[in-house]
Amino acid sequence: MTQASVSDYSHLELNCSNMMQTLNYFSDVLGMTLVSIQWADSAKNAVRAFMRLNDRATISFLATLRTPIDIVTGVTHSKNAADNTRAGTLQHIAFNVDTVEDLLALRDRIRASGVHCLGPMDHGFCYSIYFAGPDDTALEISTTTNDMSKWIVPSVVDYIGLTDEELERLKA
Amino acid sequence: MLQPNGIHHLAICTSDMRKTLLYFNDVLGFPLAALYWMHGVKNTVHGFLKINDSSCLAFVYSPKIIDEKIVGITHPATISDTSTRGTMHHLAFNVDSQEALTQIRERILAKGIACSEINTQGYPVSFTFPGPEGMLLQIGCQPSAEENVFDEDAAAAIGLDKAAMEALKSHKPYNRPASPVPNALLGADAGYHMNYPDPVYRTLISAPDELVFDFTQDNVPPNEKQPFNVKRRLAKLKLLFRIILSSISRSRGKA
Repeated sequence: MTQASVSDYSHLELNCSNMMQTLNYFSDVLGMTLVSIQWADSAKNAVRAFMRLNDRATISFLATLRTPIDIVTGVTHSKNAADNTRAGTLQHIAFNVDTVEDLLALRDRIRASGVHCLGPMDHGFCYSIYFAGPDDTALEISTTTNDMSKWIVPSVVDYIGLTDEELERLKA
Repeated sequence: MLQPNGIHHLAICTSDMRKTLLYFNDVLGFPLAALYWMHGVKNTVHGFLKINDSSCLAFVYSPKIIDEKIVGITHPATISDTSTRGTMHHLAFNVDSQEALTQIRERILAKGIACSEINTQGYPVSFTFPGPEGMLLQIGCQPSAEENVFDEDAAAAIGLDKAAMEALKSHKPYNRPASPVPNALLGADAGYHMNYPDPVYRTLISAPDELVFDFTQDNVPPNEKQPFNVKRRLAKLKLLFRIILSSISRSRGKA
């Protein structure tokens, strides 16, 4: 029997302040579809909705009565793709498409929806476009264009303190 | 059908890149895919772990990143709680069968990590466990399309009537025009703005796409000899010039 392994993301869940606006954004701007909406708790004080990425993965949103709305740049949200948030929090989300053609078509779709979109940019192993989502989320869409393995840099391995043995283990 | 078809990568901040990479490699078996200095950001590195051929889990490390969660603000206290709008509530990974779900849970338990019981009534059927730096992690098994839940009362609670909910269930097609679509004018746009200083933002959304492309092009792997990129340097100068012009016209407007 093969070992059980993770095949994909299942879902990334985001806290949201206006569920209807958020669902409409992902439907209108990105062409995604709703695959579930339900109460998130037995007291019916929270709602959770899922929008489909593929047969395994979705992005989900949680609306509650208690969700804080004050954004603190550098703590809860990054200023942009190059900035920081607290450890263990999300800096940005990059969705996938399979071709540069789809990337350009989505960029045009995003712009046609009135959402500013930058790119594409060439990061060597992927092309990316950048835009902002509901609740000031930093969004990106990428498509892989090259082998990533050339992007393991010895000076970074040293900088973060990985031993040779640990690096070998990580690569396996 | 034109839509994002997966997560290419998530970037999560970490105060200890080494420990975090080793954790996800050890616990979930993700191999290292890339580890490099982040484009143009001092002392900052990006590490990617591979989930499958089109998905990675990525981390950002900078010495400035603080490992101090603010419960209820940066992280939810538990899976039943919440944190600031736009922050991550939890992160879930998929396995392809319920047998695999049981097996992987046992493997994680064997590493001394506490896992919840499998919630067989959950959507998806899943269990939860604590990750590094306060992350709430979950592993689930995606139900088939027939098992999707559309609760009309829950939809009504967020302002969706039945017709609106039905509309969200179908893909909205898009016909791409023959020529590229420009960014909307500020003020005529939908109000979703990236967070850059004003003159930089105005410049970036109005500059020709080719100029932004040339400026950001960083396509030679870092272990290879970096050629002198004339196009990139010229694009940088042109963009700087536009930012300065934008700053001047803004300050005149204010006077």
